[in-house]
Amino acid sequence: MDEGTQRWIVTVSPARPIDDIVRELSARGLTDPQVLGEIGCILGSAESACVPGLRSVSGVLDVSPEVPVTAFQ
Amino acid sequence: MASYRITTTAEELLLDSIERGNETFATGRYICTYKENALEEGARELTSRGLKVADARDSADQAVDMASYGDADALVFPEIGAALISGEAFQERGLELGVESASDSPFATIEPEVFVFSEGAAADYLRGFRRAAEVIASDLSELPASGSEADLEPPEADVAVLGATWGLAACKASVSARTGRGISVAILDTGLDLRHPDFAGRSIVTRSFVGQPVQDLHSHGTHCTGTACGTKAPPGATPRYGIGYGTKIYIGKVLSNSGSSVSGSVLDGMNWAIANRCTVISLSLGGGGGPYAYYTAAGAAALKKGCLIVAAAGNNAGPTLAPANSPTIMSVASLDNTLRPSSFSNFGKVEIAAPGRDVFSSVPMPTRYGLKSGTSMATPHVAGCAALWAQTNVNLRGMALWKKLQATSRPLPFPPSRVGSGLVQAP
Repeated sequence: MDEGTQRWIVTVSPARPIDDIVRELSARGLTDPQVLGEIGCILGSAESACVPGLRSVSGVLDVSPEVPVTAFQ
Repeated sequence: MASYRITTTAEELLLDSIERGNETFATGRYICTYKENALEEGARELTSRGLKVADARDSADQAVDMASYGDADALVFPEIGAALISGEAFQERGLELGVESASDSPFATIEPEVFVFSEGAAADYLRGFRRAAEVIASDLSELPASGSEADLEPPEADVAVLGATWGLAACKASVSARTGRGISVAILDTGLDLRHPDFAGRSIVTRSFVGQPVQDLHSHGTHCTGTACGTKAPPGATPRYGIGYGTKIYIGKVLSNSGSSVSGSVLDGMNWAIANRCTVISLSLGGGGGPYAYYTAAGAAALKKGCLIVAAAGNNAGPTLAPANSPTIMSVASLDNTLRPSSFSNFGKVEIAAPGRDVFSSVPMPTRYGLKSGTSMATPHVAGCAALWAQTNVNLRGMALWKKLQATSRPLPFPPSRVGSGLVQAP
């Protein structure tokens, strides 16, 4: 992954076909998109500078960076 | 000949157990559980069989000092509707193990009393006993001087009495007629020890989302799976620790063997579990921040598709963490065995509470069993009970199942921000 590129989670509306949203996100800098169709989310990588563009895509509800999780032990 | 009297101390019982080379957790005494409202009748029945019966109500605050009961054969605990019976009386008075089928019997079950261990200086304690046992063995020339380490674990000091773990008893899961049969439960965690003998023959579907084999090299996932879905009958007198022993198990490895990961992997696992229409999805993990839109979306999608995601509130005595802080995900707090909120348990957005301190369950071989504490341990109690409820009615799915769990929970005298609707109960 290039410097400045990180993993993002895009949450989308069910009102627009998810494949259409993925195409537009890819055009705006989201790479390696993985569609989680059951829950309306897309995982992918992008430079931080691309995020405003990703957020402007119709049907996108939220773009957040992946965060760490741990077992609650 | 060893003594298994009411007044025999836990240490004496444990030492005797080691001397005998006992490979189970049985103490040599027995627990008789009464049928509902059969307290007085049960005591009369024991007396009629020739047992000298003492009652915990004879002690101040029912804080029992066993030594004060002298030559009693049985000690009744009225608050829990059970009696402890000496090994001698059990043998001499014609009592039999198992479920009492006679409708006029005041007894529900008679089971072996077993050692129960708590966390703490456990290993040292057991090592001390091992040394003592080895000395005795050497003196008697009967026992091998070095027994299997695994035979003596898990180790601990506070010896109590149960045929099932305290958690299963508190949830009434140990007396439920339901098994979870036909219900799919997903455990999204560090994986499972797929060679653990307690899961032999079970229907298990696995998937890794972290680039490592599903085999659990951490132990957290195996412990959580044991509570939610573990066997009804572990070997010997090992207490029952699993709730939904008839469930179909989905193991999604979303945490690496170090016990950590990223939220994208967790979402990937949620998506898989929902795609497989797992009725219950259990998450004993999380992190700071939130509520996150993606977790909320995942929870909403789950509910819409008849699935319920339950998640641990977290263990840092602060506000509920993600993903449990999403409104579409059921947040679980931890209780101690006093049914008080555990000191570590997070608060704020809490829907329900469950046993989370000193929880006995499966861990990877060769250790096989162990104790853990945390909201991580409380969550699979809720997941297991949810599976039992789901078995009772095909309409109990998604939000209906959520509401049922809350409506049937046992109210507790603590704020909803600490315990939600109360202690989860099995059907």
